[in-house]
Amino acid sequence: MTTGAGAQGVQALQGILAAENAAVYGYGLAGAQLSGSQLAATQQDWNLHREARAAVASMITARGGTPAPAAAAYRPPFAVNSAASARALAARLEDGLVQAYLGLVAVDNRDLRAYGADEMQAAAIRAASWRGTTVAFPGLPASALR
Amino acid sequence: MTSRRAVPRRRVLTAGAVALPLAATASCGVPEALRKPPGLSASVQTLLLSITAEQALVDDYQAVIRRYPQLSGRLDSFLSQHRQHLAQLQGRLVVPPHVTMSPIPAPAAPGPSSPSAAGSAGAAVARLVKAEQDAAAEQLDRLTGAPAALAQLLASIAASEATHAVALGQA
Repeated sequence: MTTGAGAQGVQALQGILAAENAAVYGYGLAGAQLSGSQLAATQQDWNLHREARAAVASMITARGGTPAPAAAAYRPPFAVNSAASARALAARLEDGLVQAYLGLVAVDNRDLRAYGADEMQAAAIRAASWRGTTVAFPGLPASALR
Repeated sequence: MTSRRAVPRRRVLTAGAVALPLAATASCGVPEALRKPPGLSASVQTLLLSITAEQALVDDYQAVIRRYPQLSGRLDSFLSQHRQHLAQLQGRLVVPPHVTMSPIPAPAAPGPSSPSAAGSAGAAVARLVKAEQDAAAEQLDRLTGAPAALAQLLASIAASEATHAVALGQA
Protein backbone atom coordinates (compact mmCIF):
# COMPACT_ATOMS: atom_id res chain seq x y z
CA MET A 1 0.00 0.00 0.00
CA THR A 2 1.29 3.46 -0.84
CA THR A 3 1.24 6.04 1.95
CA GLY A 4 2.18 9.67 2.62
CA ALA A 5 4.25 11.37 -0.07
CA GLY A 6 4.06 8.15 -2.12
CA ALA A 7 0.25 8.31 -2.25
CA GLN A 8 0.42 12.02 -3.01
CA GLY A 9 2.83 11.28 -5.83
CA VAL A 10 0.60 8.61 -7.36
CA GLN A 11 -2.40 10.93 -7.14
CA ALA A 12 -0.51 13.74 -8.88
CA LEU A 13 0.80 11.32 -11.51
CA GLN A 14 -2.76 10.13 -12.20
CA GLY A 15 -3.71 13.77 -12.82
CA ILE A 16 -0.83 14.10 -15.27
CA LEU A 17 -1.79 10.86 -17.00
CA ALA A 18 -5.34 12.15 -17.47
CA ALA A 19 -4.00 15.40 -18.96
CA GLU A 20 -1.60 13.49 -21.25
CA ASN A 21 -4.45 11.24 -22.46
CA ALA A 22 -6.58 14.31 -23.18
CA ALA A 23 -3.65 15.87 -25.04
CA VAL A 24 -3.10 12.80 -27.23
CA TYR A 25 -6.77 12.84 -28.20
CA GLY A 26 -6.96 16.63 -28.53
CA TYR A 27 -3.90 16.96 -30.76
CA GLY A 28 -5.68 14.58 -33.14
CA LEU A 29 -8.58 17.03 -33.34
CA ALA A 30 -6.24 19.99 -33.79
CA GLY A 31 -4.15 18.32 -36.47
CA ALA A 32 -7.19 17.85 -38.67
CA GLN A 33 -7.46 21.65 -38.99
CA LEU A 34 -3.78 22.47 -39.52
CA SER A 35 -1.31 22.18 -42.35
CA GLY A 36 2.33 22.80 -43.19
CA SER A 37 4.69 23.63 -40.34
CA GLN A 38 1.82 23.79 -37.83
CA LEU A 39 0.71 20.27 -38.74
CA ALA A 40 4.31 19.13 -38.37
CA ALA A 41 4.43 20.76 -34.91
CA THR A 42 1.16 19.03 -34.02
CA GLN A 43 2.56 15.64 -35.05
CA GLN A 44 5.72 16.29 -33.04
CA ASP A 45 3.75 17.24 -29.92
CA TRP A 46 1.32 14.33 -30.39
CA ASN A 47 4.23 11.87 -30.44
CA LEU A 48 5.76 13.56 -27.44
CA HIS A 49 2.56 13.20 -25.43
CA ARG A 50 2.18 9.54 -26.39
CA GLU A 51 5.67 8.92 -25.04
CA ALA A 52 4.96 10.99 -21.93
CA ARG A 53 1.79 9.11 -21.03
CA ALA A 54 3.64 5.79 -21.32
CA ALA A 55 6.39 7.13 -19.06
CA VAL A 56 3.90 8.45 -16.50
CA ALA A 57 1.93 5.19 -16.54
CA SER A 58 5.18 3.34 -15.79
CA MET A 59 5.90 5.69 -12.89
CA ILE A 60 2.45 5.01 -11.43
CA THR A 61 2.91 1.27 -11.76
CA ALA A 62 6.37 1.44 -10.19
CA ARG A 63 4.79 3.12 -7.16
CA GLY A 64 2.17 0.43 -6.68
CA GLY A 65 -0.67 2.26 -8.43
CA THR A 66 -2.81 1.31 -11.40
CA PRO A 67 -2.78 3.78 -14.29
CA ALA A 68 -6.28 5.05 -14.98
CA PRO A 69 -7.37 4.20 -18.54
CA ALA A 70 -7.96 6.88 -21.15
CA ALA A 71 -11.52 7.82 -21.99
CA ALA A 72 -12.89 6.67 -25.35
CA ALA A 73 -13.35 10.30 -26.39
CA TYR A 74 -12.91 13.80 -24.97
CA ARG A 75 -15.24 16.74 -25.55
CA PRO A 76 -13.23 19.83 -26.59
CA PRO A 77 -13.96 23.02 -24.64
CA PHE A 78 -15.07 24.75 -27.85
CA ALA A 79 -15.75 23.86 -31.47
CA VAL A 80 -12.53 23.00 -33.31
CA ASN A 81 -13.32 23.84 -36.90
CA SER A 82 -10.57 26.23 -38.00
CA ALA A 83 -6.81 26.69 -37.76
CA ALA A 84 -7.28 29.39 -35.10
CA SER A 85 -9.47 27.18 -32.91
CA ALA A 86 -7.04 24.28 -33.41
CA ARG A 87 -4.14 26.42 -32.15
CA ALA A 88 -6.28 27.60 -29.22
CA LEU A 89 -7.08 23.97 -28.37
CA ALA A 90 -3.40 23.01 -28.46
CA ALA A 91 -2.61 25.91 -26.12
CA ARG A 92 -5.46 24.84 -23.80
CA LEU A 93 -4.21 21.25 -23.72
CA GLU A 94 -0.71 22.40 -22.80
CA ASP A 95 -2.14 24.70 -20.10
CA GLY A 96 -3.82 21.63 -18.62
CA LEU A 97 -0.49 19.83 -18.60
CA VAL A 98 1.26 22.77 -16.95
CA GLN A 99 -1.30 22.65 -14.14
CA ALA A 100 -1.04 18.87 -13.82
CA TYR A 101 2.77 18.87 -13.63
CA LEU A 102 2.65 21.78 -11.18
CA GLY A 103 0.65 19.47 -8.93
CA LEU A 104 3.64 17.15 -8.84
CA VAL A 105 5.88 20.02 -7.72
CA ALA A 106 3.83 20.15 -4.49
CA VAL A 107 4.80 16.58 -3.59
CA ASP A 108 7.53 16.36 -0.95
CA ASN A 109 9.83 14.17 -3.01
CA ARG A 110 12.99 15.58 -4.56
CA ASP A 111 12.91 13.51 -7.77
CA LEU A 112 9.20 13.90 -8.46
CA ARG A 113 9.39 17.63 -7.77
CA ALA A 114 12.29 18.09 -10.18
CA TYR A 115 10.56 15.99 -12.83
CA GLY A 116 7.34 17.97 -12.45
CA ALA A 117 9.15 21.30 -12.68
CA ASP A 118 11.08 20.28 -15.81
CA GLU A 119 8.00 18.94 -17.58
CA MET A 120 5.86 21.95 -16.68
CA GLN A 121 8.53 24.21 -18.22
CA ALA A 122 8.37 22.22 -21.43
CA ALA A 123 4.55 22.35 -21.47
CA ALA A 124 4.58 26.10 -20.72
CA ILE A 125 6.93 26.67 -23.67
CA ARG A 126 4.62 24.71 -25.98
CA ALA A 127 1.57 26.58 -24.67
CA ALA A 128 3.25 29.95 -25.24
CA SER A 129 4.28 28.86 -28.73
CA TRP A 130 0.71 27.87 -29.69
CA ARG A 131 -0.80 30.95 -28.03
CA GLY A 132 1.81 33.40 -29.30
CA THR A 133 2.22 35.10 -25.91
CA THR A 134 3.81 34.36 -22.55
CA VAL A 135 2.16 34.56 -19.12
CA ALA A 136 3.61 35.57 -15.77
CA PHE A 137 2.51 32.54 -13.75
CA PRO A 138 1.98 29.42 -15.86
CA GLY A 139 -0.22 26.88 -14.11
CA LEU A 140 -0.96 28.93 -10.99
CA PRO A 141 -4.61 29.81 -10.39
CA ALA A 142 -5.42 33.43 -9.54
CA SER A 143 -6.37 32.28 -6.03
CA ALA A 144 -2.73 31.27 -5.43
CA LEU A 145 -1.51 34.81 -6.10
CA ARG A 146 -1.58 37.67 -3.59
CA MET B 1 -3.10 2.32 54.96
CA THR B 2 -3.32 5.51 52.99
CA SER B 3 -3.84 8.82 54.73
CA ARG B 4 -6.89 10.76 53.59
CA ARG B 5 -4.65 13.84 53.37
CA ALA B 6 -2.11 12.20 51.08
CA VAL B 7 -1.39 14.09 47.88
CA PRO B 8 -2.85 12.27 44.85
CA ARG B 9 -0.21 10.48 42.77
CA ARG B 10 -1.16 12.29 39.56
CA ARG B 11 -0.55 15.67 41.21
CA VAL B 12 2.86 14.53 42.42
CA LEU B 13 3.84 13.49 38.91
CA THR B 14 2.66 16.81 37.49
CA ALA B 15 4.62 18.77 40.04
CA GLY B 16 7.72 16.74 39.27
CA ALA B 17 7.34 17.36 35.56
CA VAL B 18 7.33 21.10 36.14
CA ALA B 19 10.11 21.05 38.69
CA LEU B 20 12.63 19.25 36.47
CA PRO B 21 12.84 21.80 33.64
CA LEU B 22 12.89 24.64 36.14
CA ALA B 23 15.83 23.05 37.89
CA ALA B 24 17.60 22.52 34.57
CA THR B 25 17.04 26.13 33.58
CA ALA B 26 18.27 27.37 36.90
CA SER B 27 21.45 25.32 36.65
CA CYS B 28 22.26 26.08 32.98
CA GLY B 29 21.05 29.66 32.71
CA VAL B 30 19.01 30.94 29.77
CA PRO B 31 18.27 28.30 27.13
CA GLU B 32 20.38 28.64 23.99
CA ALA B 33 17.33 29.34 21.81
CA LEU B 34 16.50 32.45 23.85
CA ARG B 35 20.00 33.98 23.98
CA LYS B 36 19.87 35.63 20.55
CA PRO B 37 17.29 36.56 17.91
CA PRO B 38 16.34 33.61 15.67
CA GLY B 39 18.10 33.33 12.31
CA LEU B 40 16.40 33.35 8.94
CA SER B 41 14.57 30.16 8.03
CA ALA B 42 15.53 28.26 4.89
CA SER B 43 12.31 29.44 3.23
CA VAL B 44 13.13 33.09 3.90
CA GLN B 45 16.64 32.62 2.52
CA THR B 46 15.18 30.98 -0.58
CA LEU B 47 12.78 33.88 -1.00
CA LEU B 48 15.55 36.46 -0.57
CA LEU B 49 17.66 34.75 -3.23
CA SER B 50 14.71 34.64 -5.62
CA ILE B 51 13.87 38.29 -4.94
CA THR B 52 17.46 39.32 -5.62
CA ALA B 53 17.45 37.35 -8.88
CA GLU B 54 14.14 38.86 -10.03
CA GLN B 55 15.27 42.37 -9.14
CA ALA B 56 18.40 41.78 -11.22
CA LEU B 57 16.28 40.77 -14.22
CA VAL B 58 14.05 43.85 -13.81
CA ASP B 59 17.19 46.00 -13.65
CA ASP B 60 18.62 44.31 -16.75
CA TYR B 61 15.48 44.89 -18.81
CA GLN B 62 15.19 48.51 -17.68
CA ALA B 63 18.83 49.20 -18.49
CA VAL B 64 18.55 47.60 -21.95
CA ILE B 65 15.40 49.61 -22.74
CA ARG B 66 17.14 52.83 -21.60
CA ARG B 67 20.10 52.14 -23.88
CA TYR B 68 18.10 50.73 -26.81
CA PRO B 69 14.66 52.41 -26.68
CA GLN B 70 13.72 50.80 -29.99
CA LEU B 71 13.45 47.49 -28.08
CA SER B 72 10.79 48.82 -25.73
CA GLY B 73 7.83 47.39 -27.62
CA ARG B 74 9.50 43.99 -27.78
CA LEU B 75 10.60 43.85 -24.15
CA ASP B 76 7.86 45.64 -22.20
CA SER B 77 5.63 42.59 -21.68
CA PHE B 78 8.54 40.53 -20.35
CA LEU B 79 9.57 43.35 -18.02
CA SER B 80 5.98 43.62 -16.79
CA GLN B 81 5.89 39.89 -16.02
CA HIS B 82 9.16 40.11 -14.08
CA ARG B 83 7.69 42.94 -12.02
CA GLN B 84 4.74 40.66 -11.25
CA HIS B 85 7.15 37.89 -10.20
CA LEU B 86 8.97 40.32 -7.94
CA ALA B 87 5.75 41.56 -6.33
CA GLN B 88 4.56 38.02 -5.61
CA LEU B 89 7.88 37.02 -4.06
CA GLN B 90 8.10 40.18 -1.96
CA GLY B 91 4.50 39.69 -0.82
CA ARG B 92 5.46 36.35 0.73
CA LEU B 93 8.42 37.71 2.66
CA VAL B 94 7.90 38.32 6.36
CA VAL B 95 11.18 39.35 7.96
CA PRO B 96 11.73 39.88 11.70
CA PRO B 97 12.35 43.55 12.63
CA HIS B 98 16.03 43.01 13.46
CA VAL B 99 16.87 41.65 10.00
CA THR B 100 17.79 43.86 7.06
CA MET B 101 15.96 43.17 3.81
CA SER B 102 18.88 43.03 1.37
CA PRO B 103 21.54 40.48 2.34
CA ILE B 104 22.85 40.34 -1.22
CA PRO B 105 23.68 43.86 -2.42
CA ALA B 106 23.05 44.55 -6.06
CA PRO B 107 26.03 45.79 -8.12
CA ALA B 108 26.32 49.59 -8.20
CA ALA B 109 26.67 49.68 -11.99
CA PRO B 110 26.13 47.11 -14.74
CA GLY B 111 29.25 45.07 -15.44
CA PRO B 112 30.75 44.57 -18.90
CA SER B 113 28.88 41.28 -19.33
CA SER B 114 25.50 42.75 -18.43
CA PRO B 115 22.86 42.85 -21.20
CA SER B 116 22.82 46.64 -21.34
CA ALA B 117 26.60 46.74 -21.91
CA ALA B 118 26.25 44.79 -25.17
CA GLY B 119 27.40 46.64 -28.28
CA SER B 120 24.16 46.25 -30.23
CA ALA B 121 20.46 45.78 -29.63
CA GLY B 122 20.65 42.22 -30.97
CA ALA B 123 23.53 41.36 -28.65
CA ALA B 124 21.64 42.86 -25.72
CA VAL B 125 18.63 40.64 -26.48
CA ALA B 126 20.90 37.60 -26.75
CA ARG B 127 22.27 38.39 -23.29
CA LEU B 128 18.73 38.75 -21.94
CA VAL B 129 17.95 35.29 -23.35
CA LYS B 130 20.94 33.91 -21.44
CA ALA B 131 19.90 35.78 -18.29
CA GLU B 132 16.39 34.30 -18.52
CA GLN B 133 17.76 30.77 -19.03
CA ASP B 134 20.11 31.14 -16.08
CA ALA B 135 17.37 32.57 -13.86
CA ALA B 136 14.99 29.71 -14.73
CA ALA B 137 17.65 27.12 -13.92
CA GLU B 138 18.52 28.82 -10.62
CA GLN B 139 14.86 28.96 -9.56
CA LEU B 140 14.61 25.20 -10.11
CA ASP B 141 17.70 24.65 -7.96
CA ARG B 142 15.84 26.32 -5.08
CA LEU B 143 12.88 23.94 -5.16
CA THR B 144 14.41 21.25 -2.97
CA GLY B 145 13.21 21.57 0.59
CA ALA B 146 10.91 24.51 -0.10
CA PRO B 147 7.35 24.31 1.26
CA ALA B 148 4.86 23.12 -1.37
CA ALA B 149 3.24 26.51 -2.06
CA LEU B 150 6.59 28.29 -2.40
CA ALA B 151 7.96 25.48 -4.59
CA GLN B 152 4.98 25.84 -6.93
CA LEU B 153 5.44 29.62 -7.15
CA LEU B 154 9.16 29.23 -7.93
CA ALA B 155 8.46 26.51 -10.52
CA SER B 156 5.82 28.71 -12.17
CA ILE B 157 8.19 31.69 -12.29
CA ALA B 158 10.92 29.45 -13.72
CA ALA B 159 8.50 28.23 -16.40
CA SER B 160 7.60 31.82 -17.25
CA GLU B 161 11.28 32.69 -17.58
CA ALA B 162 11.85 29.67 -19.79
CA THR B 163 9.06 30.88 -22.11
CA HIS B 164 10.64 34.36 -22.15
CA ALA B 165 13.95 32.90 -23.26
CA VAL B 166 12.33 31.01 -26.13
CA ALA B 167 10.11 33.92 -27.20
CA LEU B 168 13.00 36.41 -27.09
CA GLY B 169 15.18 34.06 -29.08
CA GLN B 170 12.56 33.65 -31.80
CA ALA B 171 11.51 37.27 -32.15
